[in-house]
Amino acid sequence: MLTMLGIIIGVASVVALMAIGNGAKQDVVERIQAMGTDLLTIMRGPPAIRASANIVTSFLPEDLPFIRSVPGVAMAVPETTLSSLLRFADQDLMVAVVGTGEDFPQVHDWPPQTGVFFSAEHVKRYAQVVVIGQTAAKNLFPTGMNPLGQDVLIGSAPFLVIGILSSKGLTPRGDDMDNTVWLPYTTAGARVLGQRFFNVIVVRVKPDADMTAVETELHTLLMHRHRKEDFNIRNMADTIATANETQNTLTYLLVAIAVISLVVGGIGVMNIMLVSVTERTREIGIRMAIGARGFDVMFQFLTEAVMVCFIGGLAGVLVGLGGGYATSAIAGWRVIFTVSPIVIAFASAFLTGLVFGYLPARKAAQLDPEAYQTVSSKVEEGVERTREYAQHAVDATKDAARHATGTARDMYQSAALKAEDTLSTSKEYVRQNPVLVVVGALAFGARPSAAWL
Amino acid sequence: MSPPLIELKAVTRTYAAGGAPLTMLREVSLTIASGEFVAIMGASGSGKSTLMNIIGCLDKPTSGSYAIRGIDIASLNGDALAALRRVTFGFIFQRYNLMFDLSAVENAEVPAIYRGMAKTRRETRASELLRELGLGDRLRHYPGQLSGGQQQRVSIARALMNGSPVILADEPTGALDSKGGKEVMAILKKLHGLGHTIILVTHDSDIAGYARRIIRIADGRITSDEPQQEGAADNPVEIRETTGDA
Repeated sequence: MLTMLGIIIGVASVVALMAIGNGAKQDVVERIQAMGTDLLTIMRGPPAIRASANIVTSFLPEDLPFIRSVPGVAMAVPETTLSSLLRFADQDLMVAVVGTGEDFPQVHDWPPQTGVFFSAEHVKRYAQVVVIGQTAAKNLFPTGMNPLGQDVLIGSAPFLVIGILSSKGLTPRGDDMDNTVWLPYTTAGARVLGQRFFNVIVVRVKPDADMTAVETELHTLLMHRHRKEDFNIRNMADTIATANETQNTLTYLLVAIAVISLVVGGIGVMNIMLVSVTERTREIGIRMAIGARGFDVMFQFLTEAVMVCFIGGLAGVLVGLGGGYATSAIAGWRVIFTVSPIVIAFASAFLTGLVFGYLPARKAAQLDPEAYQTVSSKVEEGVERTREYAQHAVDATKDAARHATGTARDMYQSAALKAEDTLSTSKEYVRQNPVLVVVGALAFGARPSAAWL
Repeated sequence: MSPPLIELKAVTRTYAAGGAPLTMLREVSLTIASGEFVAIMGASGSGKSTLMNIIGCLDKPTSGSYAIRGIDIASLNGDALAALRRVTFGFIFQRYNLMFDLSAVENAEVPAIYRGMAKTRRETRASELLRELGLGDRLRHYPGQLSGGQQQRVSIARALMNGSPVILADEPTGALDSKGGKEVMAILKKLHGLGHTIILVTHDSDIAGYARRIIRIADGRITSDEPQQEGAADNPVEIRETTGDA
């Protein structure tokens, strides 16, 4: 039934869209988690005000040992990033240059693929060494030459390549993490960045430590050292929570659209049922005549509406599941089906049937047997009258036919008599005037024949 | 003396539909006792169907009173009237009025559903009634597969489902040929013999001849009300299993 189509589409949309939304959310969460969940990121600028970040210069190397000694902290590295030109022979590439500490690979679970990461010694000695990312390696050494041991130029300063980091892929925002090179922060500060202070300090928390407790401790420490809150500490969990919220909002938006579609479907059901009630006035009248109460009729129509929505809901769930799988197969999006949207969508369809079926059902029940009987009596009367008139018409036609036949017969008879008359008169005339007739005939070209005589 | 089964006093019925008010019954007074076989005769538009509807609690008088066994129906609510239609009255219409998507048994058992009878008991009773009426081999047939007379017999079975001491038949033979009509009238005669009160509405005097009392109505008023000897109804047709049409 077409009425079911609205319900099916509504339910299918809810099921499929929520699954797609869940999948997308999970995708984002996992990408964020790939960045490391045990991290606290200390950024410049007080928590609420973003704009003042760049003026803060108080993130200094002297802070590092104190941060590292906070209980629960496994390691801490500074990270200051600048976009700069990387050159080797005739190749060049704009990369992100990151000045950081020797523990960077452990903090981010990002080990070198070949060679080594720089050490504490390198940091202490302001060594001019660099570790490059996969994209930088590919672009600067397209011939496949081993980058290790080569000197690359950052700006005008040469740096020895001692390692290539493994591939990490894209950030949730789409930036290429492998298009980066890493220097000891000391060297970077002196040679590339032109500043001693850091932009960011990344702290890795010990696995069994309480993130919140460590965060509080760090906060207290830095407040004491900086004497003001010119920093804010970001928890990876917060980032994930924010991302989740955003995704949830999107999903709810999609689902809201689907719900509207379900409501429209419900209105469609109600319309059809109202029309059906009107068309079935006669049936309702009969049922009331044989003893149905208002309640019985209402129950019947309500059941019908609910059945339509129940079956529509089932079909919608199946279509939604199918559609979701199809989307994931065709578009490659992740699709995660959970039980609650399916149950909710199905229950909504059921409720829609109840709610939108109630009004027509009530109308059906309130159809007065009187109303039916008035209509019915009039119909019966009309039919009877028509029959009577038809009978009259038949009789009249019979009469007319009889009459016509009689007249025709009369006319035929008189015509026949007249013809006979004329014939005998002619015969007489011929008998009486044979000569005249023969002459006349000859004059008109008739040929003589024996019959004349 | 116990109150009569049906008592109408000065019943008037006026319809206000669409502008000009239409008065179908004017001050009709009528008493019918239990066990009677009454025919209400009149031309179309005389008000006979309206009278029938009021007797069967499908319509309410505009003025006047209608009492069933002494109880004024004006004092009854919708559900109580429905109960009367369910148990006391059995309707048989000219056009059978069966549900097309239900089989003969299913059609017959509808009044019992409204009464809350259990399924097996319903089916058994409906099947029995249909068998008695000669439709034993057509229990599962649909109205589309039954002739006019057979459909009318299903309709009679339906009317008898809950007992229905009073049978109201509105032109029951109107859509049937003469043989089918005779069979239906024979059934009604038999039911009368079993104690049912039969109230028949017709414009056909041959059909009215089966009744013991003829009430004539014209222009909304009763013009005559006379008992009748058993005349035309003396060639009963036996009800048997039929193979062809009714």
